[in-house]
Amino acid sequence: MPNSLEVKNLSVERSNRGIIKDLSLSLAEGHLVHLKGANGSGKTTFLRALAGLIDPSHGEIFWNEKNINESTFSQSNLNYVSHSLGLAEELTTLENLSFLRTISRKALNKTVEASLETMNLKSFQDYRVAILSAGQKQRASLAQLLMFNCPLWLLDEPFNSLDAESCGVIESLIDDHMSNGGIAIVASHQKFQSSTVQQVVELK
Amino acid sequence: MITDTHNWSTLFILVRRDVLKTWRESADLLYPIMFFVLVTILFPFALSPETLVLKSFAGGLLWIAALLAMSVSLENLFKTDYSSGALEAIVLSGVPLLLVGLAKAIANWVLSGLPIIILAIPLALSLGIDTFSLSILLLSLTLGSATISLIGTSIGALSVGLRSAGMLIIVLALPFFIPILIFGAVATSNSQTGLIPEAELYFLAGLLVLAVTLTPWATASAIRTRLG
Repeated sequence: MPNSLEVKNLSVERSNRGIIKDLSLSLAEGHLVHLKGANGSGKTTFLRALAGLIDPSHGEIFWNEKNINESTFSQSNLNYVSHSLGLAEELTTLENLSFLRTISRKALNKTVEASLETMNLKSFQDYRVAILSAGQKQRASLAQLLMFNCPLWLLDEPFNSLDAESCGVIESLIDDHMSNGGIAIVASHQKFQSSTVQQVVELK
Repeated sequence: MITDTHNWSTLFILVRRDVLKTWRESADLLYPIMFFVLVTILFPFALSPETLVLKSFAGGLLWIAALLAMSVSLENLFKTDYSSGALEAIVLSGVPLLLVGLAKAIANWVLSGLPIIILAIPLALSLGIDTFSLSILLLSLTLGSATISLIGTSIGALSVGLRSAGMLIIVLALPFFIPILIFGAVATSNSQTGLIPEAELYFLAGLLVLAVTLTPWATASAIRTRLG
């Protein structure tokens, strides 16, 4: 059965304030959505709700036609890279990624070393995350995309702090994912060049 | 609760990561240990240098110092993992949150409980405690500190994402810690006066079993709630 993601009338409230209001979305394999919006418009909240980190106040999310709250949907289907990066500053890049790869219940893809090589970070693998530049940290975090074989990618501001060359690498990764039948939602307030974008959703 | 070898190895990896992380952040490691040593050393200056006086208070003094030192260590249990997004990444890795909670508690005990137990040996001897009472003190500290780590981890998880949560954690945790303090200190003082401390030790062991059984669930639930 082909993978699909369907969001029906999703609303999320935080502290009695409606962040997401009645949002619906339907995505099939190879479908890439560019999520746009100003700061505070709810891009991160939407992605966190899709990742199962936030319970929506209304609406439902279906993965492969099964409600994620009622089925055995697990986070093993998704690669979520948040803007807070998810890397412990006290550990090296290699230690962080090896740790995540070892404990993860997701299907594995590339090795940590190969992922870092693709992200042009091999020579920095033994450096503590704390001393890396913002762009290097971002690339280290995005290396997770290569380590796991997940059909659904949720990327929160993946181009933050990246130079043009690194942005190109990430865009080509997304394109590869799409051509392999993946589904992706990319939240970014920056211009997104990828030719595979099929839908632009603007949150207000 | 932990049924297969994969879960055991995951638990070991989670504990090793937390130990390594805190080991590298030496201030987090040294603060509770120094707190324990300093409180114990300063006590004779305030009370009396007389061995008989110190000996009679030693059990309670070491227990109070240990409990406060361990409470101090709880503030940083989840702090950096939350701010860096690492906690979120761990949750999304699909690893059972029960293991995450249990691993945090074990790491906390290894990094603060265990050094305190080891340091209690020279400190207790310097306060005039005899070897039998010392063995009871160490046994009660072992049981009690493990329970403190487990309960403290649950309460630390409740404060995930809150700024300056240190005092809140201590205020919330102290009611749970007081029975441990009472029975731990009484076990030591009973052994010093020739009474059998079995009942107190059984009570501490019972509390530990209860904490091992219940607190990982509470921690898992608190992590999920606080991240949402």
